[in-house]
Amino acid sequence: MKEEGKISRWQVFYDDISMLFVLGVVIPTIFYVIWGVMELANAPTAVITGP
Amino acid sequence: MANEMEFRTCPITGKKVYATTQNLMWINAVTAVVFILIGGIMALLVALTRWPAVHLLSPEWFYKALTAHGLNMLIFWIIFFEVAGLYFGSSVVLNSRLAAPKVAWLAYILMLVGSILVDVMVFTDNATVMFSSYVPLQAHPLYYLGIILFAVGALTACGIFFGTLAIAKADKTYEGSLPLFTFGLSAAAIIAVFTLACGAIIYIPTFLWSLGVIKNLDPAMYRLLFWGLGHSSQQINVTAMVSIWYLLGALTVGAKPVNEKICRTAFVLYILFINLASEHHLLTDPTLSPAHKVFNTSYFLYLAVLASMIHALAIPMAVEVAQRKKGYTKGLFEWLTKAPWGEPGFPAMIFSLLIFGFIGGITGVVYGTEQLSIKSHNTWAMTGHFHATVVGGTTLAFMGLTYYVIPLIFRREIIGKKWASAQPYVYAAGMILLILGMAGAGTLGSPRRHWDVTFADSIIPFSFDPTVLLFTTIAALGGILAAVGGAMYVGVSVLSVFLGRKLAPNEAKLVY
Amino acid sequence: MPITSPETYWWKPADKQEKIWITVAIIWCLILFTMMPLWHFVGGQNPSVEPMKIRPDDFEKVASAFIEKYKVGEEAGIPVVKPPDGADVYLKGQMWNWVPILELKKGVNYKFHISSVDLMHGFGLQPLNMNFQIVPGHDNILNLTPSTSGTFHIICNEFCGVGHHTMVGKIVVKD
Repeated sequence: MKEEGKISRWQVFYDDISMLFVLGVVIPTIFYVIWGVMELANAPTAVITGP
Repeated sequence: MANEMEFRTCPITGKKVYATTQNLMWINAVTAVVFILIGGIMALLVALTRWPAVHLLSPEWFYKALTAHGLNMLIFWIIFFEVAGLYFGSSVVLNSRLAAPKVAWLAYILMLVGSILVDVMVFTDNATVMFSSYVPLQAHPLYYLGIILFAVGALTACGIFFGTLAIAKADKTYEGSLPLFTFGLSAAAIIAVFTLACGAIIYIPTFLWSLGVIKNLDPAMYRLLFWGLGHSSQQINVTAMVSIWYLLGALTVGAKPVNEKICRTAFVLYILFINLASEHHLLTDPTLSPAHKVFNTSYFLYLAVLASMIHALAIPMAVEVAQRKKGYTKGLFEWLTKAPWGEPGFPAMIFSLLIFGFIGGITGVVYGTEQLSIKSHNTWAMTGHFHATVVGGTTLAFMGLTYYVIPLIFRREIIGKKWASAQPYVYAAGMILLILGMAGAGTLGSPRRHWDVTFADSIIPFSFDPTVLLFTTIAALGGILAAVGGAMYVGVSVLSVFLGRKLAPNEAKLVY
Repeated sequence: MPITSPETYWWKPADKQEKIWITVAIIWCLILFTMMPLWHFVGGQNPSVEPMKIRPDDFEKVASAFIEKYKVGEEAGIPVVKPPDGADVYLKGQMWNWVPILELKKGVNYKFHISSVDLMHGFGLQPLNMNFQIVPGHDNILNLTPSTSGTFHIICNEFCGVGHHTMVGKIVVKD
């Protein structure tokens, strides 16, 4: 809740485009890209024996 | 080139319109319309081929036309238009000069060269690889180079947008927070940076692979990163489209956001979580774990869906409040029935909202669950879903906005106002038929990207439930109707921009 | 207006209607989120992914050995294979066939290994309409138990070149 003369901290956060930029790039990079790349890179390869 | 500091003041909004910004918006928007024309012709050819009764093109031409349709519509038309929108949202809305106009022209040239390279490669049979160009299906190296150039250009345009925000802030051309429309576009630009970065990470190795420098590329890795580009680029569209809904609400009925906090929270949720949705494409892939699939596919607890639900309340609410203030208070719905349905912007906004939300959004969330993905993956229902979001939603909103950009920014009177007013209705009706046809056939198993669903040439005979053919016909008829609507849009906008009467400096009116 | 800056203090409490709508939406989102892992782990509605890479030529080798071992006939030039109960079944996607044609027994569990030896393919089992992405270099492992007898077809629903639309395979399930 706002007090007179003081801007809410949330409002300050929402106005900070560079902070939102960093979060908006970092979150999908960690959860989607890095996590996914690690799973694909670490998958075992089938060893085929015989003919 | 115009003087960087030269501007005029818009008689309607009181905004400063810098000549450099206006020229850049003009060239990007006109180029966008050229690409929707190419993509639209391809759309008609594809629709006429998928309709078994006509079956127009040969398979070679069909797959080529389908590749061109996807790229010209999903990438070139939409991103050129969005770049024009970014310059509008930063420079015009904030009363600021544009950052580095020469670099902005360079960005335009990069995008143009990239898109021409891609189209030339596709039409000369060097890149029949579909929009997704899945490795190991290989296209000519120049195709990948074209995509890379286009992405670098688009990324540069995003940089110009952020640069202009910084200049406006330093020059104090606005007070307090960014206007909501510009805030929404900032969200779109942030999403675009992640998107284009994924594109760079995957297309540069793919380019080298096509040259023979790299021998092996893991196709699953390609899919993971490609969809970081391919799906997220549609999230840019979603975010830009929602911003445009707010703008069209203001232009058509004078709606203003009821609660800035709520609207902005929804955009912040988009910024943080919507890009995780790329996972939707990978739900039936081998190798990726269920944890990765469930976490990402739910956009982190469905928080991006929550954002769309918030917009779905906030926009109609803003319209209702504005209309009630004008005195349309009778009953529950007089505010809606007395809305300016004869002006193109209003029906375009409402149909865009309904098609995007009710058809595109709901199918997206349903098909995007790990379970139902098995029933819909790679079927025509998927094609139906993204035609609802990107075409019925985004494209229709962009079309609606065009009818205001032409008089206000390009200073030309619209030629064929009646055609313009009818256009959103025709286009929306066509799209709804198309989407329902696709969804119906797809639910019964009809595949996407397929030349012949009757399987006449297969060694092992197979045929679908005949209902599939009925739905396919409905989709084709819808496609033809939508092509008519698209042609009306291209006709009105091209004629108006080039031949429309030039408006006097103080002449402009919003109401049709 | 959305194109003008908002008032200085715009962080204001939401209205009652807005609060109700958002609360309902959040609850709905949480239900959706909870159901997805529940259907997977409790409801058994998804294959549990077994990550396994396999080189395309290796897959070609094991698939050929499988076909040779259990082949019972040929149809339209494509081998017909009848694997023993509970065997590992290898299904190969290639431009533009699914090889081999399979003869399975109702109610018996088979471990399917599906992969491609050339491009990406899309496994679309009809008329059930169950679809899986088939990626070269990766083994899509599915535990399948046919629960009805009859003839099923596999179409390809990922673009794999100009003959893509002719790519059809077959599974016959017998009592």
